Amino acid sequence: MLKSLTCAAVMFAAAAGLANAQESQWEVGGIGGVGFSPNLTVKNATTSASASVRPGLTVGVYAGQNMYRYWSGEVNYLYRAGDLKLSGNGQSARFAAHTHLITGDFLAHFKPRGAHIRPFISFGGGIEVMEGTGRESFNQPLGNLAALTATREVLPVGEIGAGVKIQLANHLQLRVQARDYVSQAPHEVIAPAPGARLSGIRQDIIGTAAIALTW
Amino acid sequence: MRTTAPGAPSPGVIQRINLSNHTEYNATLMAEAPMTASSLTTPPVGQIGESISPFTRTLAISPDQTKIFVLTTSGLTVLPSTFDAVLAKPVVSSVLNAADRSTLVALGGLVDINGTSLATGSFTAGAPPLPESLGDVCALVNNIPLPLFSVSPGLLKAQLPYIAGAASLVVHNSGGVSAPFSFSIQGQAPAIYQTNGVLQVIRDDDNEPVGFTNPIHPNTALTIYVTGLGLTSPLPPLGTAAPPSPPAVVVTPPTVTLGGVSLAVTSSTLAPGQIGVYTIHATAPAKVQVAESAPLTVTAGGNSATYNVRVVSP
Repeated sequence: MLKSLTCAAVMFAAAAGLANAQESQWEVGGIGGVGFSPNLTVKNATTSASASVRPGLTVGVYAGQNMYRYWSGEVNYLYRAGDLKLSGNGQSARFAAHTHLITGDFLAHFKPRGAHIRPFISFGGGIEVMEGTGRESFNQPLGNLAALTATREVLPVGEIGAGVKIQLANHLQLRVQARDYVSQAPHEVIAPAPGARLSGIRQDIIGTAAIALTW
Repeated sequence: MRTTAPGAPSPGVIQRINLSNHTEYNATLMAEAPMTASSLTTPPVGQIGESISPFTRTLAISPDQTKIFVLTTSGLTVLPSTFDAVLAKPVVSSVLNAADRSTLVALGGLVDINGTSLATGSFTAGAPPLPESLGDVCALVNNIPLPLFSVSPGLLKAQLPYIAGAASLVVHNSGGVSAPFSFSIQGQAPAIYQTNGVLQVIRDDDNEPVGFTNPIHPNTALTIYVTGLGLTSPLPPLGTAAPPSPPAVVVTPPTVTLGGVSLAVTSSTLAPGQIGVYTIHATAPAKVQVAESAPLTVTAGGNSATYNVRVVSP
């Protein structure tokens, strides 16, 4: 999907040459994409299992301001669908879940404000609200390692990413980007059993495309 | 081995014989006399061309040598081949509540009577009402016979009578009578049932026991199975199942707390169709203290029982 998004970005870049260059200061847009997460590990003295957040659709909105010639700032909200899965020892357990990501980000552009194509890198931070919404069960598989729990957990999150903005028209901008949201492992939604330990860093690697109004 | 009796009115004995010196030993009293030619009431019947003598052999051993068949004056008696084994007297070592095996027991509650030689085998009662004698075993508290769920050599499961205070238990079986075992019966002594280590606190929304993977949330409705809540109204006779309607309501309701915060107890009754098992219906508070291990406490009659459960929010 990222490859097709890149192709689309190139096509729009060509079209962008037709658009008038304008030093827009504000951007408000909608985002869509897919999120992926590396596995975490939960283990006790005798056995272990992998704990993962399944790939899922990601949608969101953002609003930003091009404050300086090469720097901008923005606020992002993303909804990342992604069920939880525990697997190991020939057993597995799935559990409905999703994550809300709310971040404030700085963007450093490689082209000045007003350029048609503006590659950028981003970094920022905020909070991640992870919600388990599945049906709990006394007999959940691998319950000796971890409990998948219908609860809400708020974690601090850091973000780094890179992308490109393409001005399609005076007030219309396309953005393609990939961002990595990093937080600690969610010990309440994926609660390690007594004597077990959940290790690893929670990552949401999210590739998105966005359309924004600029002015 | 032989049976012998001076006459049909006398039960006589069954005894072993040492064939090397023809001495008898281990004579054991029978319930009735063996059948003999003289006690045979059916006259010998002659058939064509022959005369049949009365059948007087009265003992036979089963092929697997576990049973002895004895023809007696009123029919057939089957004895174990170990009929002359010396039976030990029953010994009671503890009386524990059947829910969580603690020593606090309450009137009308279910108890485990632990000991040795309490019974010669394992027997389980059928449908209620429960028998007061099972497998040749009976148990009495202050001379009141206890309804028995099951008996085995090391364990009797029984219901205590509706009396509180000092109590003395004796067990009777074919080995004799145990020495009195003294203990105390409380008016109320709640204890939550545990089945194979699983606390019988059931979440009403998923009908599964509370546990690490099935924690308590705010406003979770719970059904708690306990023993030891004492008298109810109406009060079912000992050993009989609780009525479904009207329910047997606990006279002095218990209180339930979670992490020190009270739960709303909506009812506490005997579980319909069961004997000595109470249910408490309660709802967790709207605000709970998140804890991997929070104390769930049931209190009644000044006695409490505390168990740890996982609590999450929301």
